[in-house]
Amino acid sequence: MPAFAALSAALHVALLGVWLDLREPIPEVDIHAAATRLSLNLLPPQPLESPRPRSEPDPDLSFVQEKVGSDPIERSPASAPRHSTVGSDPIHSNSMTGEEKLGSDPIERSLGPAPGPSFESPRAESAVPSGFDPVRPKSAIVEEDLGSDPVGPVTAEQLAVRVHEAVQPYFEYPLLARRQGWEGEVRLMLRVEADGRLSVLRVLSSSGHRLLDRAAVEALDRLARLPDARGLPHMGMETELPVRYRLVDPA
Amino acid sequence: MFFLPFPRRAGVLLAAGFVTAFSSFTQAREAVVVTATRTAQSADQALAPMVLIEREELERLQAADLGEVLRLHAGLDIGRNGGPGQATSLFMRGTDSNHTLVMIDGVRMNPATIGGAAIHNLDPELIERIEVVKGPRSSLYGSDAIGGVINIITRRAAQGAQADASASAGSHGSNRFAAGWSLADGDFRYGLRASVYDSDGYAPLTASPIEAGHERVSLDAHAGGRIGALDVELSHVRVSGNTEYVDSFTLALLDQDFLNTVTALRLEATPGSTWVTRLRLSEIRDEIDQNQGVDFAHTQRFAVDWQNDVQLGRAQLLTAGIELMREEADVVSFGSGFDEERDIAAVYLQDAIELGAHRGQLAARHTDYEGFGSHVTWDAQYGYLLTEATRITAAVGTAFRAPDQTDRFGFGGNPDLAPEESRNVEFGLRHRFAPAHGVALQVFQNDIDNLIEFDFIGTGGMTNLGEARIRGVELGYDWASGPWRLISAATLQDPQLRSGGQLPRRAKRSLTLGIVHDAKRWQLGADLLATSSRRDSGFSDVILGGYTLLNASALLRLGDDWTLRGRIENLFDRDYALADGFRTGGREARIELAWRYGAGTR
Repeated sequence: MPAFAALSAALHVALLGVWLDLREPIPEVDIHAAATRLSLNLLPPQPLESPRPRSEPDPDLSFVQEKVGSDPIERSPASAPRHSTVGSDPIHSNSMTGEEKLGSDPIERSLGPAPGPSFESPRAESAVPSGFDPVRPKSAIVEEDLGSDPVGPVTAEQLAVRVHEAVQPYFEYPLLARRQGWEGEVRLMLRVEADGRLSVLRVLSSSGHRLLDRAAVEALDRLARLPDARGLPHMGMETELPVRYRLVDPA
Repeated sequence: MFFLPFPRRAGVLLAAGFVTAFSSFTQAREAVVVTATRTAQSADQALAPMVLIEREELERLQAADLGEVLRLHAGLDIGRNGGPGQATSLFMRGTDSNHTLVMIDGVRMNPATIGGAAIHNLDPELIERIEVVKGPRSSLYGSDAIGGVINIITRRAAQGAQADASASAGSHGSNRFAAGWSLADGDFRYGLRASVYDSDGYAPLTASPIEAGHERVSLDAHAGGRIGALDVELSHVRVSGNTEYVDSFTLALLDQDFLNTVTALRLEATPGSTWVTRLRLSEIRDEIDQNQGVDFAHTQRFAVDWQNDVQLGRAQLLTAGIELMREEADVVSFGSGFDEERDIAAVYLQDAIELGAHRGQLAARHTDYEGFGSHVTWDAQYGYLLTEATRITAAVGTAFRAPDQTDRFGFGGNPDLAPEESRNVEFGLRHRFAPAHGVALQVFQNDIDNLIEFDFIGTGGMTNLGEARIRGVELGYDWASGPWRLISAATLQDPQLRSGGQLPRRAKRSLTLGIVHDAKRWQLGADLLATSSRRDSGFSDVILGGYTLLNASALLRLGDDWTLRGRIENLFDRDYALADGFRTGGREARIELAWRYGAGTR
């Protein structure tokens, strides 16, 4: 079967080529420089639960440093999340964004197993507060989070809510990570310009798996711009975004 | 815990590929949580129909061996020449008994001498999980994977120190004592487990009152750790013992010693963030030595498997590997024998793609066998998510079985035999009505050519003669509510030789149903197994009658560390046969006391 052997060889070469190609855009950056850079920034308090924390970012991920100060190219994915400002039914909790998403998540709902002692369902992470209304559009909640004065300056917390809301549809769980059972939490420091442009300044702490760190950075790259830029100071803002990758046992 | 395999299986199949991201935002700075379903260890078989049997289910069944576990799943027919330790054949999806590849932690254990893997020697005490993947898998695993693949995953150390022990007793003078210890500390892990089983057995032959006993010692040891960027693990599984049997012609009580070992060294590294490379060196032995004569059958196989998984962009996972094997088959049977060694080399490539609602998988493997040349197998699978709760799949794939050394050099042997070849086409539909309530439907047609048979009329030896077509429908249903779990599977199949006649020992209809009520302190369960009639062999007109069996299980948790289990097999003492001329065990009772300490304690 020479044809097959040739095909196999070609695919192996292609594979190697693609792999090299994948590595190519990641410039090697001096780890000491990265560490110095990191030390100049006050780290926000560590979250209570941080699996496999790392004291310093992975050198391979220092490519995100390149983005500092650079002008990110704006990319508008066809499936950009809708963001409407219509309909702002008042709601008295600014903690609803995640719950809303959670409650309306058809996958976990429809595929998760029955409640059982061993099932680590993400649903278990926080209870849905009373007054929760799954019908309300997300935008209403974000709107509420911004307070009654939408043109007023945005607080760090409000910005974090907005970022959370906007980035969710962009995350993927890489196939290789799923095959390998890789999990972990990566913490990113983001910069949001006055016009909503978004860039990853650096990885504050790695998930322990470079592929996951990279997937998180790439998800934010795809978002490129925050849909709602109102109230952002003209000098821009920085915010921290922890992204936790978790595998759940099938039903 | 979910002890029923089917709900897990349905979850794997349907949920695999779903990724959800949501923010749990009760406080600022909380994480965006990205979740996905854990995939099975049998490479990436997310699109293939699969049965997962978990540890808790194995404990509930208190089975003496793997054969007793597998028979409770529709579409897995069992032929058995008597009680514990007696030769057991597995027919998956209507294919032959040597058409199922059985692996221990990914290492092939099928013998090179003759027949299928010795599932009657495998003690469930060593097993953490069983993954049964149905359909052709030769494009990844090579020979024998025509009906499917069974990957047995042994128990591994969880974080911390753990220990457990159990003692059980049952009908026919059966006893088992098992103990295990494991420690995982930081980067290192160790585990040791032993199980001693013995049974007086019962009279296997209907023609003789002589009982045939069985005893075996099963051991599993592993040690692993992270050394720099490399994960290294050395493991050894060893099952040895003695089985008595009654000679069908002389009715004399004979016995044989057996040995099955799997030794493996695994190295794994992640050289780039998107590339995982694995090297596995393994050796297996499968030995039977007859104690009243000189007959024996020995297989020894060395294998090197180098597998690479590469994430390509966002949506593709490429798997490429090389497998090299050298197997020696040394047999003396009825005074004549052979000692043959052969080399096998293979390259394989698989690409899994996920794009929106589409799932695809392409795989191909080129296997070169010293003896008959090379063989190419391929496999294409496609899945589409109609909704987030409904998935349809289509798959076509080829598989093969290389002639074993008995086919080639045994009685009537023919060294020029070609491999048996199959082509399978199937469609599947899965839907979940609710989180704990779902159905699965699978329709398949498997055409197998070049079946190796003894040609009484023409060549007077082994010849690529037979052709078979197996068409089947598999239906699965699972439901859970509060403390209740129910799982049911039904198979309707038509395993036919193209020349006419139903393939022996394979039922056209089988139904299995398991129901369990799990309260905190206790658990009650029942298993139903119903099977239609089967032909006993291709050489006789004997029909083995259909039968329905009901088994019951009970569990009582005595505090945190102790558990008492009981089980009654064949509650209504039904008289049935798995092979003509051989008995089955009648009503059997088992009781077990188990102790568990450490992280795994409930």
